[in-house]
Amino acid sequence: MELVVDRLTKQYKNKIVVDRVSCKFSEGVYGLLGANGAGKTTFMRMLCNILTPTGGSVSLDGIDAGTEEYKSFLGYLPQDFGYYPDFTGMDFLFYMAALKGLEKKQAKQRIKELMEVVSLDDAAKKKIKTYSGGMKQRLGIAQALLNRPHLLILDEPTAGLDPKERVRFRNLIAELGKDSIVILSTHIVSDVEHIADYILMMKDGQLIFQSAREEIKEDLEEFYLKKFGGME
Amino acid sequence: MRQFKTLLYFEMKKILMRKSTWITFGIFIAGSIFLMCVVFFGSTYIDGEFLETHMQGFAIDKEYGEKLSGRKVDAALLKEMQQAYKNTGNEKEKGYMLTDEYQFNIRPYSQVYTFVRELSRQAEINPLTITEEEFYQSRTNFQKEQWEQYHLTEKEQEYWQDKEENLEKPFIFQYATAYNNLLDMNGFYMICLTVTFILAVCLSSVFAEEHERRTDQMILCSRFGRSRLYFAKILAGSIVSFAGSLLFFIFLLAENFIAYGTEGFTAAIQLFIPAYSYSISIGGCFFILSGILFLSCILTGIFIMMLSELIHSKIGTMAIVIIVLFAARIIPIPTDYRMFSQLWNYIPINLIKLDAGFTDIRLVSLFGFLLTSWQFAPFLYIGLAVLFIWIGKKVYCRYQVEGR
Repeated sequence: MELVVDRLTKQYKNKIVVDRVSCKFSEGVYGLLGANGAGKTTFMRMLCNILTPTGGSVSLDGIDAGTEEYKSFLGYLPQDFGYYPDFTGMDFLFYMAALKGLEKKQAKQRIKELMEVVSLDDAAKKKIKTYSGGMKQRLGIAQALLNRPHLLILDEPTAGLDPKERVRFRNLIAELGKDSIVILSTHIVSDVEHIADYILMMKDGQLIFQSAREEIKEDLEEFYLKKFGGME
Repeated sequence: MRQFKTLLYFEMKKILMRKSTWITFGIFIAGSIFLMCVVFFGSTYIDGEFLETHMQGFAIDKEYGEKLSGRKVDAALLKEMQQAYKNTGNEKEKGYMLTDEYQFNIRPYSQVYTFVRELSRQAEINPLTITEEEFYQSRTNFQKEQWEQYHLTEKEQEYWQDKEENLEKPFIFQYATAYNNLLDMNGFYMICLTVTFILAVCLSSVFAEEHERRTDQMILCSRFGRSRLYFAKILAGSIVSFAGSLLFFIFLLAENFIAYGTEGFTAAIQLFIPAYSYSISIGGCFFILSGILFLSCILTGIFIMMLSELIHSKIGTMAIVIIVLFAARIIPIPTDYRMFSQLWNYIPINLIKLDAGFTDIRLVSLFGFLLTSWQFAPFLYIGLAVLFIWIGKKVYCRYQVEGR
């Protein structure tokens, strides 16, 4: 599958938050790096069609981002993951599965699998309000994976995870990247250093760098700091 | 529809699992049970002296009312009533209602007296001297005054004149206390007020919660997030609105039918609204108002959910609903502003009252037919519900996740 982003722009009055970003994505893990306020979240929201661009377009194999078909291929974990405190983890995933169009039987099977993947099988029937920050984040990751997305968009996914969970999560993402397009935004370079196949860098709403990870010969953190003017 | 049932189930669960839902329902149900207990187990005291238990009183009044049921409200009945009441000079004396004079001579006619007094007061004629002719003439005079006061068109006047001519007179007295109570201020009106308040608490978060909790991002980018989910939410809120009104409706029916019996279904509405010209029974009004009550509660629920999506705030939604509720209750619009005044009467809390919106004599012309307020209200409410759903859907679909 191919995700095509063509001159994507978001402007608020006099401020351009995302400025004519164009790029193409095929299967693999894409690490989107940028400082806070660089426009990463706005860019991702437009990819998810929860924010309408001022200009430009997004399509997946020619399917427009505004269609139900596009959304059936999409998995999204927002930066500020919201939940229903009185729902159990299981309830929450069943609800999200229905929203994503999964049949009940299919959903049951998939939820069981994912609860194990994110190590929440023991807490599946507990209310989300009793979960720790890391557990909630893992639940968020599970909901994004429910429909086996071809396009997975993760906005700061490692926030709240402990080091062990981070490693586990990175492995999971690397696995998913074999068959899907995974776009992962972060300002923590180490999150993408070992798993990203491609690196994109955003600054002031513009894509200032895009390349395969293997083409960056030096340490990614140092390279990033150079690009963002933090190191001479 | 695929997944619609599952979405509906979870939307119902979201509404019903909220603490605020249980607390609000709990308070009002407890209040209803308490009032029911007061009705069933309370007693009447006159100047501190025990007269009877409420249930004994209801039984006595029912017996007296049923004895007169089927009698024409004519010269003979008026004379009997006036004869019974002739010695009421000591009415205000202490313990008057405890006397045998009241209990055995006057009380049997108290329901007829109350009915006659209602009209004679408007005509400024003493109910104890009014004749049959004066009684029906004062009714006609009062109708004419109303026509002027409400600025009725010629067509409307002809309509009511025609209805009046087809009305059977003299009226037939019937005991129908249960229906009268159901349709007055402590009946359907109270259900409408209670349910509106409950829905303001329970449904104001249906859409606002998704924005406040920030779950909207995941929902709106999911396959059915902008389509089926919206309708599942609306249906869930409508089911809660209907079920809530049905619950209090059952409470009220049980209370009134146990206390006063089910007699009087065929009594003419004129026994309660004397000047109204439409030939309809109180039982017919009960059915029509029940339908309007349920419809208005569902409409109120949909209105609250639309507000919840428009302003994205639970507290803001509740505040607006409470303000509208009280404004409708306490602000009267002068009949000189006919259109506004008439529209104001279609607000559920006004229309649901038998002696106000329901019997409003201003008509609405629809496809060449003249419709009374209770005939037009279902069309209006269904139309408004569709409009509110449409507005809510537009806003919901256009919502943009930004800022934060």
